[in-house]
Amino acid sequence: MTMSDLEKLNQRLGAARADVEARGETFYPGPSRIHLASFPPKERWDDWVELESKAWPKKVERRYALVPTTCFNCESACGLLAYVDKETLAVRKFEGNPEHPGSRGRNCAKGPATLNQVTDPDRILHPLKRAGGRGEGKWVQVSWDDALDDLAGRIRRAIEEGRRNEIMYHVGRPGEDGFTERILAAWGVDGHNSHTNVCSSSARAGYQYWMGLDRPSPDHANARVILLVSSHLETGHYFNPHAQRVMEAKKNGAKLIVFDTRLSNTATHADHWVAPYPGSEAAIFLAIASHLIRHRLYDRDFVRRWWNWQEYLAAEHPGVEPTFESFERVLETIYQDYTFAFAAHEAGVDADVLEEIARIVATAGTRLSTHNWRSAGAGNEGGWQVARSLFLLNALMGAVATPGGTFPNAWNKFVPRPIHTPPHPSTWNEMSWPAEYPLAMNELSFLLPHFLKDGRGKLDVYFTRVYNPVWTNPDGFSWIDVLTDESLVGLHAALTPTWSETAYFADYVLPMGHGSERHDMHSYETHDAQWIGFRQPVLRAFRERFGDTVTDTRQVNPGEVWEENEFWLELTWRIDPDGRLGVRRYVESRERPGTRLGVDEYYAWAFENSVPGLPERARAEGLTPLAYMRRYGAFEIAKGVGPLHAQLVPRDELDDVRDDRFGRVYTRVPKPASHNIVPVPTPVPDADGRRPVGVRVDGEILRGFPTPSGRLEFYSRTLAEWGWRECAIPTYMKSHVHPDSLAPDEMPLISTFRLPVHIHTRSANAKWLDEIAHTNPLWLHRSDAERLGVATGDLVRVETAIGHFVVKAWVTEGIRPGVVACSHHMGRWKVGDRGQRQLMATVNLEQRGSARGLTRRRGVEPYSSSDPDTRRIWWTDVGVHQNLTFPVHPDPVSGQHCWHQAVRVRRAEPGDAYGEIAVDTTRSREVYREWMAKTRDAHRHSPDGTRRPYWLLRPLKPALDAYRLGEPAAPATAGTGR
Amino acid sequence: MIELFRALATFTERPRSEHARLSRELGLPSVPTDDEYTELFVLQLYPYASVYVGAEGMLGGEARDRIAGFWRAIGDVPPKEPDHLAVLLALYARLGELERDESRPERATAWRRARIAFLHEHLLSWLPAYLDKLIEIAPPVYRAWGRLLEEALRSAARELSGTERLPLHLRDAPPLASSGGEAATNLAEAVLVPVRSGLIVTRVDLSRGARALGLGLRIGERRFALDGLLSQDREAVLGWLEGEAARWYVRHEAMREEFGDIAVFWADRAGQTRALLVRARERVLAGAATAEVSK
Repeated sequence: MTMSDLEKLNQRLGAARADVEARGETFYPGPSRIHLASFPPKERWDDWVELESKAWPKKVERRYALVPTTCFNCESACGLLAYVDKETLAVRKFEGNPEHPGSRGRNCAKGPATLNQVTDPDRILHPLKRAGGRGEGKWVQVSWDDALDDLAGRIRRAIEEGRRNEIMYHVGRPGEDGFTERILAAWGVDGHNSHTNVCSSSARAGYQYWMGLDRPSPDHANARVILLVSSHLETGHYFNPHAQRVMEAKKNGAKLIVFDTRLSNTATHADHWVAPYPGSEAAIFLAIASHLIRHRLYDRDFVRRWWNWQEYLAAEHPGVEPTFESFERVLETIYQDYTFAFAAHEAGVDADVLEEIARIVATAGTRLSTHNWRSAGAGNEGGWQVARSLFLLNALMGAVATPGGTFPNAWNKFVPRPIHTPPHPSTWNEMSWPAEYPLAMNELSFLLPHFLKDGRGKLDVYFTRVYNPVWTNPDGFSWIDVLTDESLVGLHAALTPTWSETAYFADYVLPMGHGSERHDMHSYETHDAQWIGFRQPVLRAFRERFGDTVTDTRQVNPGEVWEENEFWLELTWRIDPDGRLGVRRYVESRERPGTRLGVDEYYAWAFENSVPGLPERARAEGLTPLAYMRRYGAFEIAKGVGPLHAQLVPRDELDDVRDDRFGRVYTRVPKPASHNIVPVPTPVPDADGRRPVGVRVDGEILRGFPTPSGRLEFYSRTLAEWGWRECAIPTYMKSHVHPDSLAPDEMPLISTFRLPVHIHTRSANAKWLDEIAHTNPLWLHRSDAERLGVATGDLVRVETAIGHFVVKAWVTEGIRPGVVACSHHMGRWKVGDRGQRQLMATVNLEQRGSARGLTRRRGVEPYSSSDPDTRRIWWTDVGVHQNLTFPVHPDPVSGQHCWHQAVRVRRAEPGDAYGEIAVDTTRSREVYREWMAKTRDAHRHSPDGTRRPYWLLRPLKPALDAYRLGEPAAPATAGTGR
Repeated sequence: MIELFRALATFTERPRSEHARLSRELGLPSVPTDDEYTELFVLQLYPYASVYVGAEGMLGGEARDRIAGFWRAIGDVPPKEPDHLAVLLALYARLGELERDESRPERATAWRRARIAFLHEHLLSWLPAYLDKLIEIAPPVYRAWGRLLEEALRSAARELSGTERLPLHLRDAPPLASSGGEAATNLAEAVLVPVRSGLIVTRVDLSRGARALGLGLRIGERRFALDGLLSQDREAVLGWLEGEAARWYVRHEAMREEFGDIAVFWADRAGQTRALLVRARERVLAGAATAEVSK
């Protein structure tokens, strides 16, 4: 045999493999030692045999059908494969789905622990209605019909009586992209409220003012330098898809730099871990930027082409000749004071270390991936400038939408256009979008109790959905105040799979399914690609695969557990049973007019009509698009999307074109319809109604970015015009925990970090996760511990502006001296017997006037249940609920709650008990007012008589008319207090 | 040859339905059956490098650690059985793929260097001899597979010029004569350690030897069986082994042109073994004590 014979054979094999794999079949034998990650081959997902582990040493075979879904335990929606036992029809385990482009078959601990949630003996299985007073803990089981009719009746009356703003839906973990927003739009209600302002709003603001889109999509896998502002994303959220790509890059020689005051999991893998003083991060990034600018190490051509430097010069330096060279001179002077010495002074990190990092960043070229999500962004007043100054480094290096760079998220995300798209509501809800915060990235959700106490309005129907504000938000006692006041919250329905501190104060507790018990369609920006994932009730898909018909997910879920999408469709149908309100048509079947849309038709339509390539791919396997998604759980639409901003605008989109003086290009041609309805900002038309279509760069009309200028906005005209001119360019703003603002005996407390194996509220009865992590001691540096005379395990009292909590100390070198930290993931509690007994302490709530308290009666203990493992619980300590002692700190620009606290830490006093909380709610009202006084109200600062810049993203965007400012409402910040 | 190596790799695992397609594409005369697989890879020629290049001739040990070390050196986590032939061939294919898909020339060169080192250290160090034996005793389908793999290895060796030094497995392998202890028995046992003796002696060979000498073969592992033969007629068995060593010397020598120093190493080992066996036999014949043989 000659070399060419071997080569021919090699080619023949390659062609055969391509051919077989194009049919969706596996070419090579399945799981075996030759595959580094091995999975059951797809052809055998209908009948997969494994040995029964419990029968060992006997070899007993068990047969499974493997059904995909996606994990619901953080946002990233990694693929899961449920192993459904064909004999018992129960899910036996969850493993990774190799067909999922984001997670690629890998999962973190939270994925397989879905099984714990599904089999949790303490979960809620039936709709419950309050029997006694709110929070009294008495419940009766009711039918879904009764609950739906009650809710629908109240909502219908509110709509008919023009009280649309009294309906509010408050979401923690979003399920399907845009689904509930569209339901609310169908009702004509501006009632969407999210958790985002206690989470990522500041980071979003920093990104949005640069590139229009509010979220980064770093291409970690191909980066040369990865720069992370850690503590959240890469250790808790998007953990799995990003972590695997960060490690991939590291294997290829990339440098990982992590900024985190605390030694996070990500920091343990870093080449450089920098622990700056909290809030100084922007000063460091600006010093790095200054270094790049001073030494001309940036991509000058990229900056010239893509920054809105002309607009900046015209607005701020009108006397300067409008050339790029003049801009470069100005740029150098802007940041000349951000020396390494200055940053070192602010951050308490050696100037040499910062300079070394700047040198590494300079070697990245266009392969610089950066990320901030919570951490410094969520901790500090002005935290939005952290993301803004971080992205400045990308913008300088030209590392934007390049291999190994950072992309705008919408380019790596695909939201299929659904069967019905209701119009924008015509109302504006001041309770979520008050005039004091015209630039808030998201709803001022965590101020709701204070707004209600101010008398700004009331709620008739309030839904909390996989959301637990009493525990998650700051100032939980104020939440308890309003949730127990029926004159402020008429009816509260908690849609939740498990008991939570908030569900105790509900009128209805409506059980919703976990990741394997519900439908959702979603797409996330995990890397440079576009994919959709499909979450589905796996037993429904299993039964359908073997010929059964399932018309309602309750038929396969445990007890009467439902899924939200069917719930919302049904509730909407009942709100408008005869179609008179014009609501019903948005949930009506097209196949069978006059009947309600079902989830099968809903998804079948989207997969057939809105996902390019999916129908063809499905056809190649002889499947319908819906059957394909039910079988594989994910579909990749595109990969290697690349720099969309640099694409030429097609000629057929150009008619009667006009340029503004900075090269923004407008056209008469309406926007072509797109299958992808990913939220994108909406820069406003020109004075003659032409649509902004692109931007002129070196004579060519390119797509550009969805910003007002069409370019990357180094200078934000929006910020300047709406009252924040001094921070219209990337700037360092001193945090509320800056040493200048602290008393000598105060220290910053970092509370924003997760325990990477937990999931906020819903993991409390995930026994495998509980065993790994179940407490949240106070991280204290050795030097501080010595000063305070405290050793590991000693009780300490941590005093905030409104109260204190008592916690155990953990003395460690893993945190910067002079700063303390405590994870927000622990300290769950219940008042009575109902709750998640594996991770909730039993407590007493106390009240004397405005003095509020929580004391622990007992920790967790073993108990008997359907799961024998609950007898084996060995831990008792479940942490301390510190968030109750935090006042609200709304950032005056982004609206984000600024989590860091200035605290005094001292040894516990005699009589102090572990887990004890004390709060003065009068004081919490005062702190609220102090922060409201920092705002710049639209009534005084709006340049055009609107409430908010129309171009900015808003989860549920009202119609343009609703943006017009009315008369100022009742005294906004004064409030009457309660 | 990425695809070819990857396809060939799968045949050292238990046959599955997909092997039908692979056998067809590779032009093999049939599809391997479960019993053919078991006979060849479970009972005769264990497909683990450590058996052929390890100082003990057994699974695991330092030889496996060295291969695991290669995985670590390229920044990967070694699998459970890094020295299994399927894993070795799949990794070789993977290294080729990494080189092919790498856009940065300097990194592509680094992957190529890694592949050259891997081929030289962990494939060529033992596979030519292993395949030579396999082609001798395997059923037709595996014989055809072995020939293909042998061809592919030759072509790889031609394509990637090796390094000057002998692979570490071979440099480190203790010679046969250092085994110490109980002379003839130990010598015979050491003959079963390929990297020390230069011989690959399978159960089939032992049974052939037993038949030729008219001795009874006791069923059991190879050491046990060989002990049994020696206890029946020590002189004849040593003589038979001497013949085996001579044949192996010739087989290795024949591979000299293709595999250079590695073949020379194996031939030398077989030659030394033969010489030791000759001396041992002479001592037996002379009725002398055997203690000296292994010193």
